[in-house]
Amino acid sequence: MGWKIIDHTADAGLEVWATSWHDLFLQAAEGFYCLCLDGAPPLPPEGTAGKSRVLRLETLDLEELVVSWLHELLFLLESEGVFFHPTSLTVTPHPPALVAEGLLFPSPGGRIAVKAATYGGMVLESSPHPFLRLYLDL
Amino acid sequence: MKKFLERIDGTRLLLHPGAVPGMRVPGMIFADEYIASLREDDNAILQVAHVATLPGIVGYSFAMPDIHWGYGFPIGGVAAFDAEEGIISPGGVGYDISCGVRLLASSIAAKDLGRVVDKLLPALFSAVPSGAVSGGGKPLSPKDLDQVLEGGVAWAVKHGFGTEGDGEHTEEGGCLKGALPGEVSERAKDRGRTQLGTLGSGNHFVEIQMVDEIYSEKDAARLGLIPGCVAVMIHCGSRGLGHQVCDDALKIMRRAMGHYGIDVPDRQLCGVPVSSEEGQRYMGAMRAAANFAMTNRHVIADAVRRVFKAFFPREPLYTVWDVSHNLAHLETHRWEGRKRTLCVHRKGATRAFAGLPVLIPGSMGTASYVLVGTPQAEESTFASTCHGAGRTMSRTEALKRTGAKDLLRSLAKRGVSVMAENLHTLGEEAPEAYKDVSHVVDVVQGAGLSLKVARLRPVAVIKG
Repeated sequence: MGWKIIDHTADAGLEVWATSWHDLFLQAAEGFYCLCLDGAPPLPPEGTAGKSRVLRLETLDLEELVVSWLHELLFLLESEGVFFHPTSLTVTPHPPALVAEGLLFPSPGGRIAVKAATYGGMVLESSPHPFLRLYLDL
Repeated sequence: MKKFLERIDGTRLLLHPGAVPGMRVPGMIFADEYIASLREDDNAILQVAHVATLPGIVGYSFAMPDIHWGYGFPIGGVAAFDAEEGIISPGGVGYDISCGVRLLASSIAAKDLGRVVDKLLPALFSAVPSGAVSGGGKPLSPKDLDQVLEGGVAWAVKHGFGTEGDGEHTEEGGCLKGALPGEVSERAKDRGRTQLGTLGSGNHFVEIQMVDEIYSEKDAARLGLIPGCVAVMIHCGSRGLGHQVCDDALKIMRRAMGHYGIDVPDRQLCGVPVSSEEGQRYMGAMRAAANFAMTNRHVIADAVRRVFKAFFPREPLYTVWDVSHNLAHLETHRWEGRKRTLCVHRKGATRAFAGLPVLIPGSMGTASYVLVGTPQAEESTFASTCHGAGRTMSRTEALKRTGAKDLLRSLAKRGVSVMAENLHTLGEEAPEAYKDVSHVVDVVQGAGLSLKVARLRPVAVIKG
C-alpha cells in the first residue's frame, strides 16, 4: 500500500493503492495532507492530548465518499486550523459510508495548498486491489 | 485526437465532431502554430470534445489560446447553453467561483516608487493576508456575510471600504442580481466567514506594476492608464466559500441528473437544466459566491490603497476595472440570425463585450495586459476572450527546473521584488511554467476577440 503525487498541468494528482478500502482511505488522507501542507504528513505532537472527534459520512457512491472524506479533512484545516489523526476507521462500500474516530491537533501552519478534491478524471477500482487516482485543485 | 483537428486559419483550429462519441457541436480552439506546439498531450483537447457533448450547447465548445488541462471543462473554455434546453454546470464555472482580476491605476510616477518600494512591499504583505490556515481576514457576523453575498461591493462601501465609484468600475456594478444567500450552505459560510480580504494561495497575487506601453491612446485615456505610472493588479476569488458552493452543487446535481435524463462523460461535467429547481438554486448560490469574490477583491484593494496612502498621500489609486474569469452568466446573444438567451460558462475566460475592459494577468515577472472587447467577440465567441498566460508545465516539473532562490535572483535582475507566504513553492509559479502571455494576447487580437490597450510591467509582487 502507498501513495504518490502525479503530475497535472495546473495542479496535482494523487494515486493511492492498498489491499483494503480501510487502508486506501488512510493512505489517501496521508497523501492529501502532504499536498495540503507542502510537506510530510503531520504527526501528533508528543505530550499533547488531542481533542476527540468522530466523522460520519454517508454518500451516493464510493467516489463521493473519497471526495467527501478529503473535504472533511480540508474543512478542519481551513476552518478550525487542526488536522485529524484517525485512531479507528471503518469504511463500508455498500452502502458507501465511513466512520472515523480520531484526535484533533493544531495544524503545523503555513499555507493550505489544496482548494478541493475533484471528480475530474477520477479512477476508483476495487479489483484486483483498491486503487484510486484523483486530481486536486491547487 | 489530432486527426480530428483542422487548421482553419492562422489563429483557429476546428475540432470535428467524432473526436469523442456524442459531440453535439464542433470544438473551436484559438491557437496559432506556437500555441498549438505547446500542447504536451491531448487532455485539454479531449475536455473540449467532452464539453461539446453536453445538452443544449450552442455553436461551439470554445477554447482560448491560454487553454490547458482542467477538471471536466478545460481552463480557457467557453460554452454557451440554451436557457430553455441547455444545462448549467458547476464544473463549467470551477471551484474558485468568480476568480478574477481588479486593476487599480494612479498618477504616481514609477520612478518615485523605486525610492520606497523596499518599505512599501512589506507593508502591503502585512496588510493583505495570504495563504493563512484559518482565514486571516475580517471576521463577519452571519448578518454581514449574508449582506455581502446578496449585495456584493455595496456592503463594503457602506462599511468604509473604498468608494461607490469602485462599484461602477466593477463587472455588473459589483453585484450579481439574483444572488440567493439562503442557497449557500452553512459549511460554505463557515469557510468564508474569516476569509474576506484575503488572497489565498496558488497563483493568486497582488502585483505593483508600471504602465509600460500604450497601444490605444484613446482607450488608455478613457481607462485612466498613464504611461510610466504605477498600477496595482489583484488576482483572487471566492476562497473556501466558493469552493464549497461548487462541491455542494456537484453532489446535488449528481443526484438530479438521472431525473432529467442527462449523462456526462466525466463526472466533473455534471449539470442540470438551467431552468430546473436545482439549476436555479445553484445559479443563486453561484451569484452569491461571485458577490463574495468581488467584495473580497474590493476589500483587498482598500488595504492596498491605505498602504499607498502612507507613502503617497496626495495621489490616490482608482479602480480601472474588476472582472471575473470563472463564472456563468445569462446573456442575450444573436446566434445564427436570432436573439437567444444563453447561459454562457467561462472557465478561465473573460467577458469581452465591445468596449469593455479585459484584464489579462501574465505569469510572475512577465507583462500583464489591458485589452478591450470587440463586436467580433460578441458575434463569434459569445463575447469571450482569454484570461491569462495559461500553464504549460506541472507544478512539480516547474519546481524541479526552477528553485526558489534562482527564481528570486532572476526576478531581481529584472527589477522585480517578491514576497511570498511560502518561498519554498515559489518555483511553481516560475514564468517558464506558463505560455508567453504576449503571444496569447497576440492570438486573441489576431482573431479579433479583443484589442490591446496597454502593457503593464511588474515591479513588485506579493504571492499567496
